[in-house]
Amino acid sequence: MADMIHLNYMLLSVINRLEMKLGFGDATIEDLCRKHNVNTHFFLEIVNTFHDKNYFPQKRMQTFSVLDIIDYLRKTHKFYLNQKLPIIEKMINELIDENQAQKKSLTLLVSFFTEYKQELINHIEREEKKVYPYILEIYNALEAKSKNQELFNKMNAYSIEKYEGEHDNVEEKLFDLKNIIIKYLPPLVDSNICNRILSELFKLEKDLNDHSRIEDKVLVPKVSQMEESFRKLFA
Amino acid sequence: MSKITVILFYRNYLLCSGLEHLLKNEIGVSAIFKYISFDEIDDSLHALSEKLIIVEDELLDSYKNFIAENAGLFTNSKVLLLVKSKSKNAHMDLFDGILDITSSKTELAEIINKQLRLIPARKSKNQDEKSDLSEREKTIVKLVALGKTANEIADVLFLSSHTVITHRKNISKKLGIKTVSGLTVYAILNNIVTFEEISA
Repeated sequence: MADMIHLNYMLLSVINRLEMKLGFGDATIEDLCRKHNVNTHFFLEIVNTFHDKNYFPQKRMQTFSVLDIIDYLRKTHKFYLNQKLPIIEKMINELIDENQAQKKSLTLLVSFFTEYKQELINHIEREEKKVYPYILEIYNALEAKSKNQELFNKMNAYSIEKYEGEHDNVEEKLFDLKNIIIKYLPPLVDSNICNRILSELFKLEKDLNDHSRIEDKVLVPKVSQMEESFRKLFA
Repeated sequence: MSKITVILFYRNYLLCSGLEHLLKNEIGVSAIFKYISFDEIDDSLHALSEKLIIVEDELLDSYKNFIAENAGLFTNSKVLLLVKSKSKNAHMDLFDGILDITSSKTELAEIINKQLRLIPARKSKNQDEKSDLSEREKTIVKLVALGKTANEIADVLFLSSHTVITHRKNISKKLGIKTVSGLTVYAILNNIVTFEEISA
């Protein structure tokens, strides 16, 4: 595991969200995955796709259980909410404290960021409270081969395909946020902090892209198949 | 005179020199770069876009490895394979054409010219890509910042809503800002609209 981190330190954020604590000595990836109850093969695919954006074995990823996939996505959400967003917010507040002269322009930046943050939170909450429970319900029904009529009705009203179409403009907002800082903020006395904020935003963006790729290319097609199998129970 | 750069990957010095002569004197290509292996260009991979690339058949295997590792690199480029005999070639799908060294000068020039014409010219920075907004676009940014919809803007400016949407797209492209709230921030920072106007 240590070798992996030396190879690409960006993967620190992945082991962090999986709550794998540092100080693991010479433990192998397999050791740590077992200790933290993570499917080793799944872990390897996750770090590899994270490491190399051209590597994405869609079919193989779809063979993992939705439980593993959702568990990872949930941990990633938690990582955004509890770590990423607070760090960026803190830096933006610092930016204002240090540049009182441009306070007016920077206040705009803050309100834009707050808007972005809220949208991201809404997006995450919708997935956590609506989409994932729905998927787990199908999973359980399939496991038990139960003809859950209520779920069947729900499926007719709301299928996973619809969710796929509902991608909101969270990505666009982040894109705008970066450009406002890069191109349009008035020059500041100390732009070091802007650089740090940008670097965090770029990392967040990469992470989010990786996250939504797993949702769109792995989770959604997999759930579509599950929906179909579930419908067949009624045939 | 072709402004397109040609890159040669070769093993045989004589073959390469002959080809270079042909390119310079018959076709008028002035920028020619020569490499004897694909490892040499590790640091300047991006330089392979929008070029004509000619690969000698001796390097076929290393070329295959190279494109396997660098897929998509040759977008907007054309690649020709230089072969020494008209034997059947199983790798046609990897190339845009074949140069056979037994062909005549005219035939070779024709094949090369055909590919040169297919390479898109490097995009020049034209008016459209400059970030300055036109007066009309500024007016639209202002109205967007004030919370007007495309239809409302169309009514105020006597335009079709389709035109307004086209303007919006161009504005987003120029500024690199896509969302309404992003445009609002831009408008205030650039004094196109005041904070008070928006809050009103």
